[in-house]
Amino acid sequence: MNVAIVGRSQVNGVLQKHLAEQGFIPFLVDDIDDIREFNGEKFKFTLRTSRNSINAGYVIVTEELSNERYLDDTPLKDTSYRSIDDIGDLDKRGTENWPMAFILDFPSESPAYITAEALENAARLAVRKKRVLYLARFMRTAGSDVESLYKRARNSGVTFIKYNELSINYDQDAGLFQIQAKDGYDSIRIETPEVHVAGKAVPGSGIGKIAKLLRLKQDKNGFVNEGKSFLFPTLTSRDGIYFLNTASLTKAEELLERIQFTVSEIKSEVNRIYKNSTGCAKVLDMPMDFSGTDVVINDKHAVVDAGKCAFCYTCFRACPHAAMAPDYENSVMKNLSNSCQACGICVSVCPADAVRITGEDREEGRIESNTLKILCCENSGEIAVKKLRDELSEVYGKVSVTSVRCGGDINVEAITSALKQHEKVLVVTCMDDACKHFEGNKRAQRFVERVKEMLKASGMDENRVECLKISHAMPYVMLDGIREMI
Amino acid sequence: MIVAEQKPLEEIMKSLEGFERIAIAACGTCVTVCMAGGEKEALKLASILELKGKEKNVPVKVKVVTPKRQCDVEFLDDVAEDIQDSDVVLSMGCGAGIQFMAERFRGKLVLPGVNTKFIGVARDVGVWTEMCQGCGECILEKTGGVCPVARCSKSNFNGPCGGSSGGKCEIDPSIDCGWQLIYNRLKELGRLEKLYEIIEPKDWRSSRDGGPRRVEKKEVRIDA
Repeated sequence: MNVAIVGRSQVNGVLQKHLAEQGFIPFLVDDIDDIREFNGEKFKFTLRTSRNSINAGYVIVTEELSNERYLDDTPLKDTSYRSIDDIGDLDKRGTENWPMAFILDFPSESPAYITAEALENAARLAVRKKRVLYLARFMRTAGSDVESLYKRARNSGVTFIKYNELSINYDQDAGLFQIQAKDGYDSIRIETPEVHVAGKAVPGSGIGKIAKLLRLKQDKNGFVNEGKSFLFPTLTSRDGIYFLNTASLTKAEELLERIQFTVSEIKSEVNRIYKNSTGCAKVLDMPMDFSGTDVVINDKHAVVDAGKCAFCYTCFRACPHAAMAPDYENSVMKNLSNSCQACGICVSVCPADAVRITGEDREEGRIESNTLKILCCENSGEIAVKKLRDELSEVYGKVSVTSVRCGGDINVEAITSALKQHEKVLVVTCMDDACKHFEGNKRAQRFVERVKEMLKASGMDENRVECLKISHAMPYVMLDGIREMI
Repeated sequence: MIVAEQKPLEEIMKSLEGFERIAIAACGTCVTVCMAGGEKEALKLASILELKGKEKNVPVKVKVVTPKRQCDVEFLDDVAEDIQDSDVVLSMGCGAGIQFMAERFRGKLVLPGVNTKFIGVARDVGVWTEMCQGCGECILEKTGGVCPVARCSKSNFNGPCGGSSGGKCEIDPSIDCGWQLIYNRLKELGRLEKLYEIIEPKDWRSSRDGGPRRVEKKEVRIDA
């Protein structure tokens, strides 16, 4: 099976080698400006350049990020900062006893190697009787050895401060940084002449071009796969496309780990699908080429009713996984089932009511008449409610639960329909920034708000529907929500 | 496309008060695309109407039909049976569709479900903006493809008024100044000299003057 490597990077050679070792045929397209067209879905991508057209089962983007020092958007120039690894020659450092601040101002998890480096250096300074403060917006917990590094730093006397808001000024005359950190409850002021700031990787223009071409979702900072801490760093919003996310400050072993993960992820998927579709128990070492075959990869996916589709592009624009594509021959949208995650966002936004998810009936005709209907996302609400079996026994018979792939599928009509059979409806969806489908939870919340408006406008009780955002580990928050409604 | 906006729900509920057999006629073309009156919107309305009926213990029955377009009679014929079976029709079509529906089903009360706004484009998912007022005589050739009739708040023909500031309109700072857009576009095209041509006062007879307009294409007419 062909795997396309897209982008200019120092890792292309290593990646090619790894892919070839696993029986894949790597194709390198390092000039992204030369890509004329990109179409298709997992197992059936096509990539056309000025020279040739390539079919590929998977795509790995390797275009490099560029490096920048973090906190550069503050009025301070980077000359005043020290980097995380610049702690000077420890033996030559004097007896100065001012506090030193390490700042990791990453909006989500800081990269593992940066966290490790900062913790190590903070500990090395603290152990020499220096006052060291470690300020982070997001405390990274995952990663090998991070836990023991935290312990070492704590034992050395490093003080940890987690904040939500940070402001820094530099008093030129006094040569002091004035730092104010707030966590929503308390506020702390620190004056220090020495601030260490982590370097960060930033997406260059190449990433933007690739994201547009490959229809990958970018976050507000321009990354295509940041800010989703539960995802392994090489997954993207689009199935079958991986992003190696490298910058020259990335450590070699971390890079190698990412390459190995990505290649083994692809290999095990190919083998699994081959096994499922052929019924062959023996998984072949050499993956077969699926191009031109009708192997079913996702049995659950969206389907478009061509008779109803208004070809309005709403689903195309709203799909977080780029799983809708225009079918110009028939003037309708079509679903790319290999890319589709069946989150149902297309179903809820389609103004023509032309999309549905295979195998999902609309529960019409089923008569239920209990007090509360819980419509929940399978990633949060469904798991949480299952943990409440004992607690819910007191209200047994009053509550029924329907779970869906994503809160984004719980649209206005689904809620109003449920209200016809139930006194109240509780929509339970994932917390902000935790939605596997990026914004399904926010959509669910907006749908609930719309239903509330509609109920109010027609003289009914708007409190008949509520929305709760929780994680699967918050069953008692859900229980409180349920008790408030019945 | 014609862009419309659903009427406030209070208004719709009030207009339908007392009716028990209601037909909601969505329209499968423009108002579907601008999410004001497609099948999905009609189903939502139906759902809330039935819910309200249930609460008041009135057996409200709502039927949703979606002709491809309400502005062609054959599509209306397709849904005639359901329309005839109802006490009232809420048309979610544009102003043209609502009237055409009323014309086709003479004995029926046909009520509007949307406010028709303008001819426009989809700027983003859920955002539409006005581009054309159907003035009857297109002068886009003179203005770099940006319409001064629709996109200048004052429909000025020869440059901006004194209220253009920082590229924005004095009527509302969220609106781009139409003449700034015209200037930018002509500059981009290297055709700024176009701005030296004085545009003569517009002959508004092609627009709303002279009553309802009619377009005829002789070669396709069918002889009686």
